[in-house]
Amino acid sequence: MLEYQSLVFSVAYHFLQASALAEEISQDIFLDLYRNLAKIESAAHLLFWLRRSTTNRCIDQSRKLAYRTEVPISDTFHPASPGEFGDTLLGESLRRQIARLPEWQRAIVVLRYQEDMDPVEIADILNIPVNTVKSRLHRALGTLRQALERKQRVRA
Amino acid sequence: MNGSFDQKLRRELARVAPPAGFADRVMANLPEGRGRGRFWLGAVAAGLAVLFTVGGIEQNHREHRMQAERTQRQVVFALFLAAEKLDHVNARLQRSAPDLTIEGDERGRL
Repeated sequence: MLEYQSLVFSVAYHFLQASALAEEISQDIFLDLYRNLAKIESAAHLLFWLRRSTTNRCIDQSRKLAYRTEVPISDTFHPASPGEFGDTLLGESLRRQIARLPEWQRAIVVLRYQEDMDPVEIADILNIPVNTVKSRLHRALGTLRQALERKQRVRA
Repeated sequence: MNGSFDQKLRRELARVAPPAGFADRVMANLPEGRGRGRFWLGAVAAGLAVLFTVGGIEQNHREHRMQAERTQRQVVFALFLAAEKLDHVNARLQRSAPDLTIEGDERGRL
């Protein structure tokens, strides 16, 4: 379990931008894993199961809370291995923009850049066509890039 | 810009360690709580099973004892009745034929 807790917690944290909620979801995921342990066939299956369960749970949670309207970026939690984005404000702005993306786009961005997965793997996890993953990723990156550029212009 | 933007995203979305004590909290919710519940449930079930078994055996013994006592009483009563009848027959016989008595095997045949 120790090996995978960082994966699960990070997906939830980056998706929801709230450590308490991310921990709650992570705990639920591990409880589910405990109940379904007999169904896990291999390490690869476990990795797949954790990524899919966590992502689906985050999407559900996000819809339930209509999360995009209240993004608690300023959480008390400070990640143990924080990003080294030189400009903290721009980093925070980027995270805020990620948190505002529609659920599916957000899930794709998190899996792409946190888990370093390619569109085919992401499509498998989310159970959607590869082309849908590619188009949503393209759209999400466009939104994020524009927001970041706007922020940089304002600062300049 | 693309490569740099990708790098920024990777850095911002790098895996982070969960808060301290996370694994302990998960473990506390996993086997112990559920196990403890199951233990007490099992203990109560086992206790009831023992109680019912002992009670059942005791009840069975009591019924057997009562049945044996009833049978014993019936046998005694039957013997008593038989003896009374024999005495009655013997008395009548003696009255009609004072020299005649029924002894041993002959009494059994009656």
